[in-house]
Amino acid sequence: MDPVKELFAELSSPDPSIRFSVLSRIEEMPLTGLQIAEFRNLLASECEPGIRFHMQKVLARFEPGEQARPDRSGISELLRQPARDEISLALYLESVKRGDAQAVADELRKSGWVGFSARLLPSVLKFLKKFGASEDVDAVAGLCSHNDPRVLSAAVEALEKLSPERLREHIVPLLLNANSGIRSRAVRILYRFDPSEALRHFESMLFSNSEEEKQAALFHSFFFPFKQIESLMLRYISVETDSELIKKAGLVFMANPDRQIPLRLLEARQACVGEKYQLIDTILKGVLQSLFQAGLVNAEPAQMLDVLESHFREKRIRLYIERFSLGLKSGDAETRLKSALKLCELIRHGVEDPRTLINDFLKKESDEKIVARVRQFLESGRLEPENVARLEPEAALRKEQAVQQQAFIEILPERRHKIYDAINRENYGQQMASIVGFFSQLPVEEQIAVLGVIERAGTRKETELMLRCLESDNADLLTAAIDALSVVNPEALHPLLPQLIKHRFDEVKVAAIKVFALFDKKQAISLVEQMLHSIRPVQRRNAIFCLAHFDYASVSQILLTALKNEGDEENQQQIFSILLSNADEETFFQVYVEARSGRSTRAELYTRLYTGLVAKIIAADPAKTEAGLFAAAEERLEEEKRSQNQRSAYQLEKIQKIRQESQKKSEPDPGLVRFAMVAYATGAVLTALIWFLFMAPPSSAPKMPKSGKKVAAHSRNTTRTIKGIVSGVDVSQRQVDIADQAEQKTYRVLFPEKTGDLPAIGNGFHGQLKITGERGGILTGELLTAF
Amino acid sequence: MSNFTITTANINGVFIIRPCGYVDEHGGAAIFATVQKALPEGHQKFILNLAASPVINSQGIAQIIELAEIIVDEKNGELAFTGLSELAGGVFKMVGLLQMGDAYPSEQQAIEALGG
Repeated sequence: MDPVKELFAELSSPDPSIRFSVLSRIEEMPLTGLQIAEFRNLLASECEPGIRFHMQKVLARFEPGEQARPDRSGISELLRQPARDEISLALYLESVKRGDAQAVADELRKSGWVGFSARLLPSVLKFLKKFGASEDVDAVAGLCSHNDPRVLSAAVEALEKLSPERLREHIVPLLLNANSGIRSRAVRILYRFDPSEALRHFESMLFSNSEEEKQAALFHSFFFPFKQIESLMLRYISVETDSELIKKAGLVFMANPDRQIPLRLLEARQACVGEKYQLIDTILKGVLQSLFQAGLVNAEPAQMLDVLESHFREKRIRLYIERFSLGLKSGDAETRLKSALKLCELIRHGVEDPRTLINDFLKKESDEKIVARVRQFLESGRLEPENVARLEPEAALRKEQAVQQQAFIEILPERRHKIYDAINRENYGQQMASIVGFFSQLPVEEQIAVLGVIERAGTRKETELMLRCLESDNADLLTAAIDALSVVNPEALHPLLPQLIKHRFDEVKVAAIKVFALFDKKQAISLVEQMLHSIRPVQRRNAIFCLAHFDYASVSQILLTALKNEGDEENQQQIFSILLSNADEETFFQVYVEARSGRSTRAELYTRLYTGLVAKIIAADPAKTEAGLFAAAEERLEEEKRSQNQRSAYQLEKIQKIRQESQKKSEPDPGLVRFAMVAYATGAVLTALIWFLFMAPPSSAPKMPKSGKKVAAHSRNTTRTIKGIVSGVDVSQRQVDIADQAEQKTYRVLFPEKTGDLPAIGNGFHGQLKITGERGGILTGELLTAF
Repeated sequence: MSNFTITTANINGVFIIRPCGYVDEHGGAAIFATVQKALPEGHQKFILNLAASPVINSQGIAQIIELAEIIVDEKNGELAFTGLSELAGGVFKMVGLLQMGDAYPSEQQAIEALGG
């Protein structure tokens, strides 16, 4: 696209801050006659005085009298006139040559420039930024609390150049400013004298509900050392749902290639589906490309991706083994049995790592029934003892050949298990055809095995079968069905999640939350946090295990907080395993500060943890040294202590409180500040429903949440689940209007051809949309799934 | 560790800086130092040819912003960019560097645009 056209298009934006920022780009551009005419039309429709002034200034450059602008001698006269030609003055100030600068600055001082109009002040401040002196500092500082954001930001820029130290006294009002761009700039300024508190402010902006605030934080993210914001950015990218914002954040990663990042991004990618999976995949590949191009690694991106993917699989398996190996030591017989069976399942799928653990367990286990069941399962994949004599190998082979001609249910259970084990993507269709008809007659353990096959190699064809399993009362079968559906057809599971998340079995709850995270990770993580507050250690254990399934960046802070409160030794060990498996410098620093700050009663536990973390970090990156890591951690600790006493005035919590109170009193000027309230990006109704159900006692009947503005905000390129009545149909455009009475909103939804027949007016609708925009108060979107 | 080098050229009064390698903090500082050295020699028009430096990190960007401010704001000089990778172009646009200097597809076009 023609860059000038692109900029002109942005001049039609309803947001004045966008229009204003575009002008500064157009200012220096050469424009053709046609473009000037178009620009003039845009000026005619512009209502905001400050922007009009800037547009006139741009046009004045092309006026025939442009050459006759005042020169050095005429400037004194111009400054003296109260009804001066401000455009000429602004243009002159922006073109002053160094030789004349001192004299012009003196003239400005004499004229009392501080009293100039708000539209002229940015030009004066821009001039003083270049040619000002210490005598201008007080006047410039005085404008750092101006109510026009254009004047204010020009004053901040000038003061930053003339006397950056003076900005310190303005930090609180700047952090409180209604304009998010100015607030994020204030955070950057704060970083100079209190980096850790500045990062807390940055974090709060990045994870704000306001799109404006997130945009500003992302823009300024380039001005922080990437190492300092790396983990925040990773967490951001894994919970953000707006594709445009994810792309912007992606640029920060790609521009700052780091060898530790790709694995983290891979984890984030694996925790997503659909468009977000693709977006993170693109960023991951971009980072690998940058690493290669920057000469930081020698491996080609594709080659590195292969290595990372196998590393990721190994890590998942390791965590799984660690989790269940802890269960082998439990005092509860059922937990020991379940844990052993889980590990045997891995062995039966060809992962040999847990075999030694199981052999040791079998030697030490005192409960003979457990030993017998584990041995039986390990050998045959069956839980119940065999009641039929073992087949001779030759006879077994003959039997296998005859499988096709025999009803599946009549085959001996042991043979059936062998068939399940041998099913792969190639023979799946053929083998499943003979199994499906008999599925309901199979014992539960075999149904679980079949669901495992579907999860491994299946297709959406078996969706109905899996959905039927969700009606079961058996926790293992339910979990297996959820796991299989989450891989094969997560959309089909989506509408059932509210009920599953409040299930009485913790395992089912955890499995459902893991799937919910594919659709709305932010809320899923909040649900797990709720489970971590349970008084039952087992429920907390399940929550911790669930956290291990999320990408580490999203949950590292939650795990560290959980460790602070966790009293159960087995759970502590579980958290240890996860933290050690994901050892990175940020975690090490935080644990080190916790251990050494003197505020924790668990210093010994934290010391043990950070020692382990250091060992892991060094093992993964030989360039790191123990001495270097400890020196950096010590520095961090000192900085924390130093800042504790200084930060009271600009402390994040204090600033947030003041802003909340002032927002209650007055709404910001919508003409200058665009506050987009993005409450829940994905599935607002579903999210609210899940919240309600999860928080409610299991016996209470599900209720729809009350509609409210908090969940009603829309955001472009996000997904949303809606429920309503079809109020209009345009067959030629395949557009359907849906009135969502709970949300009191109307959606105009495009139904792609593949979705088949359109619903009729009056029909109920329940489905997931991708929001594409808003026209005349109607939200527009594209149908993703109809439930 | 990546190798970073800089070559320069003076074509028709335009000072051209051609870095090669990853522009991180050190690379950015080296570019900055090159410009600082050229300014007292009277150069006013600069082209930063980044064709051999497709990756520029945050610290490198910060150094380029600073030198752009010196060339354009303080010295009233001119700056142009060429050889921007898709990534660098996106980043330059996002941080506002393209407001301080235009990007051109080739060094020759940049020289012509600066009147060299």
